[in-house]
Amino acid sequence: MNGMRRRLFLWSGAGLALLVASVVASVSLGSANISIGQVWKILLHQLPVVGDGVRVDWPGPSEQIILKVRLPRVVLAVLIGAALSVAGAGFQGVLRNPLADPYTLGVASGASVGAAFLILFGLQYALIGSWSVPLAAFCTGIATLWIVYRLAQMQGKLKMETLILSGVVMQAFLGAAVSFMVSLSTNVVNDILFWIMGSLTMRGWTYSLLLFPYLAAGMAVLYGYARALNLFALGERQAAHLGVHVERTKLIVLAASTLLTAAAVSVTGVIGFVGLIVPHMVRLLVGPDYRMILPLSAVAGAIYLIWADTLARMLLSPTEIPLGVVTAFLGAPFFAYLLQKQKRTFRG
Amino acid sequence: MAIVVAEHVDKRFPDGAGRSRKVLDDVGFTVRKGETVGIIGPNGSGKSTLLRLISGVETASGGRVLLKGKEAAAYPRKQLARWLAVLQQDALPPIGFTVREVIGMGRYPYQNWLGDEREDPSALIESVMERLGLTALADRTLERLSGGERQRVALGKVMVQEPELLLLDEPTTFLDIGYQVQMMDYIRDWQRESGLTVVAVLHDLNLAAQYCDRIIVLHEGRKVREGTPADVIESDLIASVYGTRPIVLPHPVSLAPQILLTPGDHSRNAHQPAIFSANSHERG
Amino acid sequence: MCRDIFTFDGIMKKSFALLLAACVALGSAGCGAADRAGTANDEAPAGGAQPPGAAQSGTNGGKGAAGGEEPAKKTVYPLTVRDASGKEVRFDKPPERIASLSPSETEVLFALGLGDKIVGVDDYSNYPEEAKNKPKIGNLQGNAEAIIAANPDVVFAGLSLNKQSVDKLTELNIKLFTVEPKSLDQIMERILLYGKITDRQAQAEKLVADMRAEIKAVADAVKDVKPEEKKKVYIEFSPGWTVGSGEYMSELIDVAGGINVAADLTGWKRISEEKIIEQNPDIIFYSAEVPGLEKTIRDRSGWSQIAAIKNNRVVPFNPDLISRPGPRVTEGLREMAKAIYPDRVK
Repeated sequence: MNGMRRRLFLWSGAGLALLVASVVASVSLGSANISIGQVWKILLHQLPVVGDGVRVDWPGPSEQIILKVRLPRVVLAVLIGAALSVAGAGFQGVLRNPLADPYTLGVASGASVGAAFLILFGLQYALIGSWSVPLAAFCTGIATLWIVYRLAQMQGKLKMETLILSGVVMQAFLGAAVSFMVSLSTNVVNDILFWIMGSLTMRGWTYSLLLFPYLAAGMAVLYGYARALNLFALGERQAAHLGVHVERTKLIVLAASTLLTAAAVSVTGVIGFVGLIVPHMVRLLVGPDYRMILPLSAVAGAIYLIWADTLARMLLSPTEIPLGVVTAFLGAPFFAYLLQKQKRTFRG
Repeated sequence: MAIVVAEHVDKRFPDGAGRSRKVLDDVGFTVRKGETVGIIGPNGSGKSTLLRLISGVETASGGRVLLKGKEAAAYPRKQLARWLAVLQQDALPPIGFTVREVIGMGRYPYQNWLGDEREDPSALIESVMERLGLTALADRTLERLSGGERQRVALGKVMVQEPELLLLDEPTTFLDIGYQVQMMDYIRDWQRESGLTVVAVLHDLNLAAQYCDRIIVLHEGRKVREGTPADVIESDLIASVYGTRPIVLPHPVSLAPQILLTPGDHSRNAHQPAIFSANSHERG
Repeated sequence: MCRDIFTFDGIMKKSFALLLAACVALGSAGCGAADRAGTANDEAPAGGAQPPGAAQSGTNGGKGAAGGEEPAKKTVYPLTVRDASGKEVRFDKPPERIASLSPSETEVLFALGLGDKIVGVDDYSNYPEEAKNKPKIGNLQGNAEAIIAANPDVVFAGLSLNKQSVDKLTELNIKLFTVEPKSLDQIMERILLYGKITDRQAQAEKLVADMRAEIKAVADAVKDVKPEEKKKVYIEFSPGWTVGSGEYMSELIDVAGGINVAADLTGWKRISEEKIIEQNPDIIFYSAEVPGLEKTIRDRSGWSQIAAIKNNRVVPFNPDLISRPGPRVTEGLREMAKAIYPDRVK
């Protein structure tokens, strides 16, 4: 255990350092031309004591861009990347399936239905302004989880195979509903599709600030079940014999993971691949212990999404590539590379 | 002191056609502290189900099973895990945890929410690994171990759990004879040192006769005999329960009754079970 | 948020009388002014054979692009014209049964006086009033059954028709004529082309002349604006979307004397918030159709310091005027110019 703590410390240190570097790098890049020197000065200027010493020599718009457009966007990428990765790790742990991802139970399709509905009728900004779509998406996402859970419950026990099957069915059904709405949409620009493909554009600080405590709580709950998830690897019966409340653990881990996922999806659309491969990559690097996988997945997911988003907005600047497309293009080859590496070391 | 008491235990399962099938029918027995009790019987006789009822994973449809005077459900899970441990047939899947990590998992019932215990269990873990000859494999992951080695690790895990009652569910099924004897010897030594009570479901009658103080025989959900190995391992009973009549000889060293299988005897259907009273099973 | 929809029928009617008298005089000279004002337009309008139509056999010198040399021409049939997809479409006689799959085309057809020949319009055609009562033939992609039931001689469609729909309609032997006007000139050329196809050249030329006059009026009103005084304009016609150069909507901004901050893009593009902040537009136009869009734009993170928002120059526009490349687009142009330069344009 001491060894585990030391390893965790080392890996986290490295991870956090990389995260900070990524944040700074990403904030320095964008479609507006702002030199790195200026970026640094603008950021430093915000610090309480040191900041006053920095002389203001940049144009007003630059400061707006750095502080109100890029920085909140990067922070949101950190939160969403962490949330999706931790949720993915939770799903993989409780379903004992390294191919599980946060969307296994149909949350993504569920949330998409709410968003698509609002966008179809042009109500994205009606009612409660820019919170309309996230709130609708969140509600439909949670409703989907509830339905899937009810479908899968048998005699008070939750069978994993039935759960996954219910999730697949709901996903197919809801996916069809979304496709239907897309077909009804008559706009030349298909906003529903863009929402579904995922984006961090124009989100500002409000989402990050509101999501942060919620996501932190969800991740803390999941981390509390890390040891139980380790025991799950032995088998549900074995875990029960060691004193794990199997049904309760399954329920809480699934619920927390799904809530994290629903929150993330409702704000940014469906960003795929992160929840699937980040925990898996972390597992390949540090082993099967969830006490390491959970926190490190959060850090790794944050870094991954920062870079994916940076590429999404820089590659074809000023046009943005949908984020979900980039995460897939980035993730697949990197993942294949890691699998190859692991195969070689295993044989050796 | 009676650690396990089973009273008129019934267990029914729905058989899918709206009716239920009785898997255990009015089973009763007592296990005292320090005993090694074996449960034998053919497949489908309800042995594993009975063990699951004792371990608290399932509840009886009728009657009850008392552990130290209370039903299993009355104990909080972790508390129960501190004195009751279960070793299964294929105890450990080939996962990526190391031997030391897996054995360490046996301490889960004693850990608080931070994962810490009052005393450092490292010494215990090391001594268990040494006892079982696993020290050299301590940092190897389970996926690189053979089946026999993994079963030893599983035994290590339950040893580290420091239980008072150990339930074994056919723990030697997938092992070679060398490992079988080794496993049962480890358990017996451990039991003698710590006063452990053992209830073991075994399919190998000879092993049961060598290692158990008492044996319970189940047949089609009912207890048909209970007694010392000499009482139970005898030709007529084996014939009526298993459908083949073996030759029973005392072991030259331990004097425990051992069976020798005799090919060519298929008397199951023809034989009238004179030993039992009239059967009244619920059929389908 | 109030909807100040641009309506100015009174002014329209007064100008009309004057313009009618000056129609012929404006004919040859007027188009020139409009061209100069359209900076992003790289098509030579006069005497050119280019989309949306090149007249072949039939009419005498058929260069309707010049805005009409002599009034009341009669079309000679058979007439073969090329539509926006490059396909050659042949008309043996003036079409008696006309359908439209685009609200802008509907407006043009009605403006040419073809109201009683129209047998079907798309679901979104809502102007003029009579259009609402016409049989509906589907959304912008068309409903095959409804179209067949209406039995049109020709279906006019705009740029929103996708390839599958085109193929499907062609398969059903329905005469399809697509247009894709990308500039004000092309919008007007298309009107003239329709006039030729339907033998309503007089009405077409009059309509175009009116439009040119309106354009000229606007161009004249803003021609004294010095380059450094020009206002930067940002237009968001759909949440998160703006238009770059090469489209008529961008040309409207140019003619109105503004500078499109998204001019370095081409076509219809999603916006980059950073770029807009950097460009610091003086005035922001947004589509009045989307509820809550104004508040969203104003509340966007980092946009509060943009000149347009600071000075409260966030103006809604009527999408029926601006988003449709139809006869009322010059109305929209005037409204836009009025919003940009209120003291110069009345």
